[in-house]
Amino acid sequence: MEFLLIVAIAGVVWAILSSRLRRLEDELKREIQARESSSELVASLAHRVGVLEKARLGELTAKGAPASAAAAAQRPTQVKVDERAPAAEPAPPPLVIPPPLPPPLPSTAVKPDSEPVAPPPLPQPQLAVPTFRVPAFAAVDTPPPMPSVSASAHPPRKSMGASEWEALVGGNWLNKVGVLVFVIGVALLLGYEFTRVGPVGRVAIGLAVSLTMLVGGMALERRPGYAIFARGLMGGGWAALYFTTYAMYGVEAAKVIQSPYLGSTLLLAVAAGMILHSLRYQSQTASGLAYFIAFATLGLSESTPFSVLALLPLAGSLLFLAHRFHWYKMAVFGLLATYATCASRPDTGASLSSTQALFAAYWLLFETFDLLSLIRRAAGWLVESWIFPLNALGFLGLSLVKWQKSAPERLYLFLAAAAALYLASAILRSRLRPPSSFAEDSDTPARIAGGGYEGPITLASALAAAAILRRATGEWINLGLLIEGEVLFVAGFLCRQIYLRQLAGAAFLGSVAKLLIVDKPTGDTITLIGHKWQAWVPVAVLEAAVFYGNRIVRVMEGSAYSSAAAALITLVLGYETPLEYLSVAWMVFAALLFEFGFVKKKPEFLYQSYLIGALGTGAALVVNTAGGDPTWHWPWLPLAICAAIHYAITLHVGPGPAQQLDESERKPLQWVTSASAATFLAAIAWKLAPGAYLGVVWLLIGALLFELGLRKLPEHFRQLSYVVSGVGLANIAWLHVIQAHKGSILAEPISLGLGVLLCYGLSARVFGPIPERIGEPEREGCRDLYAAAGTLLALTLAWLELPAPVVGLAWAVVGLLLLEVGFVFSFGRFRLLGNVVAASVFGRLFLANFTDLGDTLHISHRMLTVVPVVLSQYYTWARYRQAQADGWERNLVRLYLYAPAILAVALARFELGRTLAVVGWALFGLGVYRVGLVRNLADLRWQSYAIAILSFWRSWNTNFDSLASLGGIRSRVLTGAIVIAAFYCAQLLSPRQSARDGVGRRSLDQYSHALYSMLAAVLLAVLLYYEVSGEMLTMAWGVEALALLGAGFPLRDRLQRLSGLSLFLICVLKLFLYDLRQLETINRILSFIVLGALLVGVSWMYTRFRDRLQQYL
Amino acid sequence: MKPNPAFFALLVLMMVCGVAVRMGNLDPDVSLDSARELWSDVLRDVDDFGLHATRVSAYKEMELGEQMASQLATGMPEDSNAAQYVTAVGSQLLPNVNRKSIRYHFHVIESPEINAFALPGGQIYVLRGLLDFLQSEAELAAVLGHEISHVDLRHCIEQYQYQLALKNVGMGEVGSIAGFAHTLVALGYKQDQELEADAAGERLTIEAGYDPDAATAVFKRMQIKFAESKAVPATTPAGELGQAVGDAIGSYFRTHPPSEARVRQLSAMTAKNRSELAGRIYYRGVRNYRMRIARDTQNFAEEQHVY
Repeated sequence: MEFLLIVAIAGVVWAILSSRLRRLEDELKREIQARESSSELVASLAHRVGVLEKARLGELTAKGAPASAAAAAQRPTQVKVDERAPAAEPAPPPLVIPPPLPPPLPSTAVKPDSEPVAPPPLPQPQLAVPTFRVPAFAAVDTPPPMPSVSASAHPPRKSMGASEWEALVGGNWLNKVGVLVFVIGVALLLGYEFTRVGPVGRVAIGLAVSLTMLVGGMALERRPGYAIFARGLMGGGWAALYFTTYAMYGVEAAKVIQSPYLGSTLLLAVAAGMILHSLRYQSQTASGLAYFIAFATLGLSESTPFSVLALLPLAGSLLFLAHRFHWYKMAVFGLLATYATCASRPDTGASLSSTQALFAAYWLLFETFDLLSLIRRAAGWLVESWIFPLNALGFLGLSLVKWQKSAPERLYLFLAAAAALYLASAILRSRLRPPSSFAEDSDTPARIAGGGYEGPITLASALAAAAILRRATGEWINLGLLIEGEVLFVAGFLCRQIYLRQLAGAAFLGSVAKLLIVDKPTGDTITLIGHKWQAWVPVAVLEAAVFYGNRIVRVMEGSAYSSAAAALITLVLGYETPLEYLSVAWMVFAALLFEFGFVKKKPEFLYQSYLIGALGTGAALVVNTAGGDPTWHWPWLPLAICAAIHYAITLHVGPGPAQQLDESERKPLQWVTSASAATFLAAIAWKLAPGAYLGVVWLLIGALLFELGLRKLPEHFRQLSYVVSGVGLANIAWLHVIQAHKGSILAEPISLGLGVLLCYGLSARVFGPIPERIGEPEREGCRDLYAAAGTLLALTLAWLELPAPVVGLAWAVVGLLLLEVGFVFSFGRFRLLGNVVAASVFGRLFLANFTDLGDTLHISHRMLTVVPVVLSQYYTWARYRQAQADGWERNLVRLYLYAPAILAVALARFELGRTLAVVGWALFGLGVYRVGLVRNLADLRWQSYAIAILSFWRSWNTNFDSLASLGGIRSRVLTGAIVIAAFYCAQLLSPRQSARDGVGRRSLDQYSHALYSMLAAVLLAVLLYYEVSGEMLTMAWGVEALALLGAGFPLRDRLQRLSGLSLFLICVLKLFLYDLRQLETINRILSFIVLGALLVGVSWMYTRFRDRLQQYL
Repeated sequence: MKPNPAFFALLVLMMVCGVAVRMGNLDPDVSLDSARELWSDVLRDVDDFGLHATRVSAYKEMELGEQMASQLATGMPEDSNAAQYVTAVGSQLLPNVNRKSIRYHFHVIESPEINAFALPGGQIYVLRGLLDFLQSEAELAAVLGHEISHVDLRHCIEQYQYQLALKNVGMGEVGSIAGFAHTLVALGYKQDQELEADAAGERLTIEAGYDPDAATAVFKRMQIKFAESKAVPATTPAGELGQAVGDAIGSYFRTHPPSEARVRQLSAMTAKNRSELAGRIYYRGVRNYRMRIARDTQNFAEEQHVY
């Protein structure tokens, strides 16, 4: 305790010294400035003199003054202030006569603790008109020196001398410290139980000492130089008197008064004396010292309730003085001292009510002082600004400690009462220092510092909230905070005070935080209207209603209230709605918010609706789509409702004159709602549709979305339909194409069939351009892709449902249709698709048709399936030719001539067998050649050449080696004859003149005539070789040669004739090389004779009918 | 461009043909046999040229066959008694062969295997196991007809023609290589030769008056005996294609077609000629077979049936 007292004393001394030094420093600065300003003034005046001199010299020069004088006058005037420089000539009167500077302020002449008084203004310089006498012939080297400054002025004080410090310490400081120490000693003496002197004696001593100090101080005060010492004595005397009066009742060792009322009255009397005496001197330091000593002695004295009560008049008198003389520092000191003294004293066991009353009295005292000081308080944090917070701290702190110790269960009463006190203070402050008295840009701390109502109202709110927390339980706390908040809000609204509304927000926040953090996790329930609710729900609903009510009034933070209300309602819905319909509840709420925001043009409601809508959508996806409970009756219903809501919003925000949203908001919103609606539709399908039909249902939904999209209901559905349809098609492809199963359930072909219809339907839908609904590239892509998908499904369906031999035919029908559509409507990709299908048909025939052994009415299934395909391919070729294909299709067209030829050749092979196939080939080749000649198609002609060679080869290698018979005729003779006849027919058809191609070159066709001729002749010769025995062979070949020759003339076929002649030659060679040695005599002779006859006959013909033959050659 | 009237006509034609096929006797076969057969044709057409050029006379062929038979006889004991019966049956088929100059010799080898084969020049071998497997004289005739057809159609001699030709010009070692190379090429159409021999043998059997369904019965029993599992048709599009490709690749190196294919061909053949065959009397010879007495020795009335 003593240590603290010493520290406090040292602090007070330091404060006093520092203020004194500061004041001295200020005085010194003022003196220096005064000196400097006078010097500057002198310098400026000197400069003016120089200028005037120059001007005067100029005039004189113009009138004939010597140049030297003019030159001298040109030189800059040098001004030198030299108070001791002797004057060369009688100095002119000074321009400025500065008055003597005020002497340094003596320490005794200045009231040390007076308010900073504005220094007396420097006297204005008295300007006098200068009169110069310029010498006529004297060279003025230097201007006449300026007169020195009046020597009567005191030089400026540069610093305090050492003697002055000594005087300050010895004369002032020691006085105060000495008085303090002395008074403390007197107090200790009185308190110390001194057996020699009884209570009366001690009181007498105390009174004697204090009165001595008082009287002594009063006596010394009149003497010069003892003022400070005297005041110190008087201050100490009053302190000692106050303590002695206190000790008369309050200190056991000096107790001479038994009545507390008498003791209090005497204290009040002494306090009044202190006040009145202080009024005379108006010295904050002295009075402060007195009060300090008084507080210190009370602090050191015995701890009794009276010692605490004694602080009351002490503090009250101090405050009176502080208020009277604006001694705010002393007021703060008194506050600190009062509460510190109370806090330092241990609990004396006094009753709660009396203690609280005392504390309340203290509070009231200082609060009143603060209120009274409001009127003249300036802005910013001043000393007196600390009174309110320190008063609150002291009062509340001490009271809480007392209540916590004495009656913790009723602490709420104190809190409520304190809140009421501060509410009253706030109201008073709002009157004394209305909010309009503060600058508009001032912040809350500045207002609190300036005595605004913000401080007490904040405390009142906090105390009220604390009281609610202490007193109420469960949801009643929420209710209490809600009411408090609403009261603050209404007050803030009515008074147009943002701070009150901010406090209201804090109260609401506390209520909501408690609801979320404390109430919700408990899971308690209550029963209302026959329904079990979460216990916190009614409060939440009420809070939401209050928030919405607050939103109705137009306040800056209204959007925060509406958002909070929306969040609460969303939370309530989340807990109270059955899980199955949770998404619906949120979506409905979001829709209502959206509609409200949309109609009323309130963006906040829109944004809330977006968030809650996203929640609802997520719930629908997670709970109703991915999750679900088998016990739910209609699991699709929530999805349908959500989809309907999304769709309604999509249409609602469509472009139009009634559009309330910006494009930057409307478009994304429409996209999201469209996508959500589409997703929900797909989810419904997933829930309801059997697995085998799911893909078709999705495709159907995609078609629906596509149509709606075309009609712009909305336009986004068109793009979304691609996604949905794509998913549906992928499902169908996976289940019914890749995993297509012959003999599977009926759902498979049904799904495929419906898929085909939908795909082709969608494709047909966009056959024609509809520029107002869909762009061209998109339309074409859509049309072609759907057609491709439909085609794939159609081919799969055909494979699934039709017998293997018919599949190729069905595919050919599909391909033909695609090609025809491609030709009619000029759809290049349709033709491409048709070509792909045609290629598939080609392969399919080899896979399933050529080895088919079935028949219908004795017509093989091979014929019934391959022939139509061949015809379709020729038709396609003709179509391409008619359409005049270009680009890549130009090369493709030729394939449609070769593919059917390959199929026809293969058909003949499998239909007629390996040996008889040559008949079909030869006839087919002949027909192809004929068409090639008529239509001038080189490809057909070339095909015929290849077929002819194939027939020749097969006939020779296979047929001629067979000894089988057909209808009694050797099969090789029958087949050989037909093939040879076909060759000769082709020869007859072939042109003699070789055709030339576009650049004048001879084409392959130039050899056709020779080819057919040679093939026929050789094959016949080979047939004869196999059929005719060795002996007759020469004659047989001879006959053939004759026939060739004979036919060559009427046909005018030189090659034919040459063939015959060649054969004749061969016969001759055979005759001599083989027949002569191998054959029997008679046969040999016969051969020679016959051949010889033939040769002679031919020769005769050439000779006899030379002229007639000439025309055939 | 307007739709062409021919388009509609073609559509109608295709639909009518499709319906006609659907209403008819379906005997589908989803495989790549058609491509294999066409490729086989190509190989044979190319090979035939060389074979024609190296053709040997019937005399040379029989000489070769006798050499091979004598080599075979040293390592494989024969049953002469059974051979007599087999010869008696086989002889009934010979009047309808094409190459009359070939003299056929029938052998029965004591071996439990169910097999028969032919050597060039008319050397026909039947193993004991096959004799035990067969159940009627008509079945024996069908088997013999198959083997005789191999000789008659020159399938046997063609395997050695290149070797013989090169040997004749003093290039025996090259001939072995050429023979091996020819064997590899011939693998491509070996199955077709078997089917040809089946068809030709069936013709010989029918013309000899035996039951036309005997060969089919033999192959069906072989299918069961050798557990030739019937291929399960694929049920998915990809499976169908995969199965076809797999079968095509696997069958390329097979010397004999599956019994199922042989049965299918023979059945189609008899079905195709059903009008000709209907009403004719054919001999089965079950009793003859058990007794090992040829039909021309003992004709049992109960063994005659009307087709």
